[in-house]
Amino acid sequence: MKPTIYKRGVATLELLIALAVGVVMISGAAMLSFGGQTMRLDTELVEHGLYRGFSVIEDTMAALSADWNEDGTSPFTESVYTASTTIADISPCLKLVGGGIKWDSEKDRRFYSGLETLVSSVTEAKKLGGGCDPFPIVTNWEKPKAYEFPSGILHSGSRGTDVEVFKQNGKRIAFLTTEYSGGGGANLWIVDVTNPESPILLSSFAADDKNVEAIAALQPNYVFLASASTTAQLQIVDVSDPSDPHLAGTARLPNLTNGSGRSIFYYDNKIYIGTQFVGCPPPCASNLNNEFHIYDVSSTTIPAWQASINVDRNVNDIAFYNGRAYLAIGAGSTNPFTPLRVYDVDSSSGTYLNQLGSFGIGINRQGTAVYVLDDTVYLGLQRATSGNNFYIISTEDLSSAIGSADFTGNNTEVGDIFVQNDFAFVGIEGANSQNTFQAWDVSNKVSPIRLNTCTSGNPYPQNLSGLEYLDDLIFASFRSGDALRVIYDTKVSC
Amino acid sequence: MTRKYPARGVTLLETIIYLGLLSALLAGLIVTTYPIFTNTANNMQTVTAEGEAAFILRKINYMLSDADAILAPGASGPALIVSRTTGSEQMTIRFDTSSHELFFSENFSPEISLVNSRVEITDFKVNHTEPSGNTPRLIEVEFKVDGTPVGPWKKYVHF
Repeated sequence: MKPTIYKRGVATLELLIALAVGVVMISGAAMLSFGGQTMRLDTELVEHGLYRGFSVIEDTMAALSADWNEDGTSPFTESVYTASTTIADISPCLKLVGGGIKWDSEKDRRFYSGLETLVSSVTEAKKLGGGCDPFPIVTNWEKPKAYEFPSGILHSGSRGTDVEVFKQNGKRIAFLTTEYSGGGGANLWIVDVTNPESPILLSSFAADDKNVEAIAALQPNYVFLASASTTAQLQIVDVSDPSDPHLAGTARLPNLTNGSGRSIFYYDNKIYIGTQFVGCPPPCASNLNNEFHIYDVSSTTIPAWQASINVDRNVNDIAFYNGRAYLAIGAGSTNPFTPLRVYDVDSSSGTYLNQLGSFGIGINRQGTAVYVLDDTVYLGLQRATSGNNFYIISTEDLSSAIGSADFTGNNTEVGDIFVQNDFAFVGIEGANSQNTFQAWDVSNKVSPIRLNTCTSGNPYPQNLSGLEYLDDLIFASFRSGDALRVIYDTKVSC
Repeated sequence: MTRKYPARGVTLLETIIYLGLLSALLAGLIVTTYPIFTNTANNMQTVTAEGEAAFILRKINYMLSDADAILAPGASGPALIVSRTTGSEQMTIRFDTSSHELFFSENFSPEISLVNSRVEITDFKVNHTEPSGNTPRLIEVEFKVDGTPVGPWKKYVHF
């Protein structure tokens, strides 16, 4: 067999193949080359973006040092970068500062770098009397429980009204106020709750035989009591030695013929104290029936009265925020009923002591608890048989609520509210055992969600009247059963 | 069996075409690979420079983290000297304008060069703004690394 001999080459085809191979190689090499340039560009942009992000955070922290109520800045542009900051309150003395940097790289590729840090204010914590937990809440609070309280520690007839907790010499001490108990003969009980499973009663105290309705603290040495007395509504107790408390000073609210203390708040050497509604049958001068009073307590032995406001309602709870007093009050007798009023209590302001606004609802219900954090008011009300008794309101716009919810339970009232980052802890008086303590997720202010919905049995005494958050624990006062209980999160999900 | 081979070789024209193609391919190869190598070198230099800049700033951040006094500059200068732990420690970062080197020393020990010799630092400057009202003391640092500006990087110092 003869082999076939091709006499002509295939030069054109070879040429095309060679060209194709060449194009592929050049394309690949070009991509590799330009890809390297892109990587270098991005490395530079990212590094410089981070420097700017760090500087933005530093600027915001410095601005907060100068003014703790500083808001975040509007976006601003530097070179190719657009920077913005956000500031969110975790607690009255703790803020979450965020700095965001975004930029467009080549071919419209968009980049974003965000930094966050926590900023605490020692100055603000001191102004609050030290009552400010500097850590955000991290657990879920879906299935909280109360530690068993050993019997016999407090007098069995003691009905708790409010509680303060703080550290003294490395120990965690609870200051429980109660209705005056005949058998125990006290209305202030000081309990070492360093070990919440084994509390130790250190001492008890009473300046008189009246109920104490509310407590505020100037850590670590003094507590201020709002007494149901009509002659010494403000009582200051030196608790520097918790086993031997003694009365440091008292004050009778001025120009009152009656009216007992029922709410109190400490801020920056001032005590804000509220009373029950004080009628003023004519003839009666307008300064003779004021329910809200301001004292300078720079001297804890001689509190100095500064000013009063005729609220003409029960002043059931007080919160101070940004120079303003937020009062949970009686709703009034005509529509719109206003269970919340706001007064200017900044003595340097031109509108000092003026009413700045109110929040109205269509039904006559008393405001019974109020807490203000991050430009937001959390208001609790009485509840009859239906409707919402929890309102979330912007401090900038009191005309309508951002959101609301129903704490459930007929003929109840909100005893106390405490808010930290996205958690609201609520005590309800009159509710059953499963509903007397409630934890809510308020990250979505329009639709807050209750967290502890799977509670079973009788986890707590009824009638939670006051609560305080410290060290990831809730210290609660109850008007029934054990007057003081410590609630912890089991960290179990519902 | 007798094998037969092509009766003729490649023509001159074919040879020229092949040589032309080979030249084009080699030229393309050189044109494309040269930027790759130079880019790689540039990329390495840039990454090194950025790394050195980050190192300098972190070092300064560390110096300031526990500072209890700023000894220099008074307002602005090429050196940062801080006192730490109530004067028992002292740290210095000094820029030598002639050699373009950045030196670091701790507790009066001999200075050591802080930056990789492959990277050139220029225009190193520290600005020191005294506290005003409630606004804390401000330290601003800026410099150029291989000609690329870095900063001003800010740190507010609380003491």
